[in-house]
Amino acid sequence: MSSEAFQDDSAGGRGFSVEVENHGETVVLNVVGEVDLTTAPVLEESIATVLARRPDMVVVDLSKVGFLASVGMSVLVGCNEQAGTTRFRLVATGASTFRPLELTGLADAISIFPTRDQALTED
Amino acid sequence: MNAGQQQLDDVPEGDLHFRVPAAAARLTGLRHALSEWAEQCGLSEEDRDALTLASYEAMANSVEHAYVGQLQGVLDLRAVRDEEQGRVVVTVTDYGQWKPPPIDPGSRGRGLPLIRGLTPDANITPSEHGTTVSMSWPISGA
Repeated sequence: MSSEAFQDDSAGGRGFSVEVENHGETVVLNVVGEVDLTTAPVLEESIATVLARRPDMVVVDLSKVGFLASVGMSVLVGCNEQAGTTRFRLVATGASTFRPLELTGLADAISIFPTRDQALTED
Repeated sequence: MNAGQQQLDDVPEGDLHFRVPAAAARLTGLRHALSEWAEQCGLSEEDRDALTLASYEAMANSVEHAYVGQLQGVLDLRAVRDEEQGRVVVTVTDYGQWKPPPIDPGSRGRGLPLIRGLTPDANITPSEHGTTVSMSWPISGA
């Protein structure tokens, strides 16, 4: 397994990071911090970079995201649309990430799993 | 207060009022201040998350839409504890142009639906002088 990291060190996005883990043909993006207007571009760049390599599956793990604004949801929808033949999945649970995804109807549009294991193993 | 914003004078104890430049970088600190305030008010964790996100979306709308093509304006964030009615009220005001949501919002335009989903009581009041978004949540056990 190899890994790389995208980070936003600007004042607004302090502490936000996306760690990319390559598991063969599956790539997991481990997102840590708060997704808002200042950090969403970092999330977008990191997912777009990974999708460009056309892996079989991309899992964006939001388990360690404490705040998800609509600008971040727009990034996720855009990436889901651009994924093409790559399976695009999210890990999200609870009030800070799953609830807003559900309220905006995105839970129906994107494959969301409560745990990373389920996202990696379910068909 | 972090992020450089300053609490204005003449604000009743227990309430919040911040006036800041309508800039994305300012909103992070405001959001954290609001979340702490909501906790002190005794809101449930779920309502606290809802209040913080809905307020952020209202402020983000002001930052992204109110002052397009103009010199950067300001926004006011007010958070008031209304003991009589057992609720907290958050108001976000800008002094720019109201931009009606497009008919087909595409991948954007989720802010207003999200606000309406997160509060039982959202009032959006556009005028020629700006836009006010007012939202309220019940105080638990009130």
